[in-house]
Amino acid sequence: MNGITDINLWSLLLGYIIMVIPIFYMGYYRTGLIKETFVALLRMSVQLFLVAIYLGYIFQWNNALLNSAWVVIMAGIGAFTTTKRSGLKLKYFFLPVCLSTLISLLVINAFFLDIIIGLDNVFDAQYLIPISGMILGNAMNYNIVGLNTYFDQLVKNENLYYFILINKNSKKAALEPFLREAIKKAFNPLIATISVTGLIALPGMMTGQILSGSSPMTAIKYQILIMLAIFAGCSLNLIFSILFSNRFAFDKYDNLRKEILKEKISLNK
Amino acid sequence: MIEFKEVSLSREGKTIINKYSFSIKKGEKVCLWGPSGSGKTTILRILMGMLEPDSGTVKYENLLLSPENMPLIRKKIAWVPQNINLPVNSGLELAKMLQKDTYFKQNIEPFLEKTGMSTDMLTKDFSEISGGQKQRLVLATCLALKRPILFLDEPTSALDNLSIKQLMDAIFSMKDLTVISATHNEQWMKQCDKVINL
Repeated sequence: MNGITDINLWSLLLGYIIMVIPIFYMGYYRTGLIKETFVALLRMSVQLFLVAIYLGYIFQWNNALLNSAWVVIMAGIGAFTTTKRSGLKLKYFFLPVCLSTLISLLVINAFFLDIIIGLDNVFDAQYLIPISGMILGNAMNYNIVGLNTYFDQLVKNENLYYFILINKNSKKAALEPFLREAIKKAFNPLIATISVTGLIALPGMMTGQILSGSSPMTAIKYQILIMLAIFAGCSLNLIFSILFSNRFAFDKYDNLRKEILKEKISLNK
Repeated sequence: MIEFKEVSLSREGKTIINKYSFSIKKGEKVCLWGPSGSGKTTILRILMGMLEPDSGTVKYENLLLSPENMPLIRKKIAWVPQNINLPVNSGLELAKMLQKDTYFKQNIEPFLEKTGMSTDMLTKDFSEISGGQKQRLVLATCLALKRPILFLDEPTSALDNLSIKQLMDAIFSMKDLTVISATHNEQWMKQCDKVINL
């Protein structure tokens, strides 16, 4: 297999021309999204170039401590975005979400990189950073849906929570329907994605590996492992995020502290 | 049995109840009576620990309503709310959800009869039964928990006259059961041993 053909800067800039099509339609239908699209494109490009420079150094140095620190930073940014987008106050929920992200990453990376792939150095930047990044990127989306559903339903269906809490005398049982709903809402899209992988969607990682010269068989083996890692990582992350958040979300009488949820959730009532 | 002493609660600068007191004896059927917004539901919620008062005390026999005592107090109470979206599809599933006892089906049967329903109602899908039947099923399930104190929030709201009579016969014939209800139904209020006007 041949290695990947590099793209020169002029070709890359030429690639942006294709954006004329969506921008034309955005303008034609007066969506008001043109400015946002330009900002998003600019941000994406600058962020990716900066990351490329930074990752270049990280890969060159390949230091276990530095690699781990980078993963912790990625987890922190992921937890920050998840908490904000879930309509929860950072002051109370950043820590539990960040902690659950780190724990799920630790478990999944240890299992896949050490036990399954059998790397001599599980902190090797070539594996640790892209795999952590893929788990984090996916986990963030599913965590936002899950946490949002969980707290939104708790506010909307408060009577159900109290009904089970009082009549069964168990907070764990009272939270079960909400946890179930959050898991269902978060994981239905992931199950759908997994079931059509290879048929409709050709995953990015596999495509990247094939473009870089790996054989399709090696690429699909990695892809299967990464899908398993994403599924397990996302589920661990969501369940831990909810369980850890529960410590802050309820008062000493087991009442939901609505004041620590942002307005977005409270107003949905 | 229950002592509600000088309880006050304000929310967003508005006084909802101010130094309110009453007591309830074992087996009494008590009605919280007053127009909408007078604080009936607030008092029910304070009694069940869903709202923490600004001042005053609530006692269940010798147990002070406090976070530490909540698991013990919840063992004494059952609650039938006015409107509820249940995550189950039948009375049997509901009974299974609330009872730890493996004999949940046998436990609930006598209470189904008491509330004027046949036992086959347990297996019927909620989509096939009326709002009133569903409410009586919820009530029968809560009665089957055999707690000494029952809280009812607008117990007659979804019922027709015949169902109201069956429900009242069932509730008021249970002499040992203490019932605290918030209602707008005059017929219900008149049958109660004690009316707390708000």
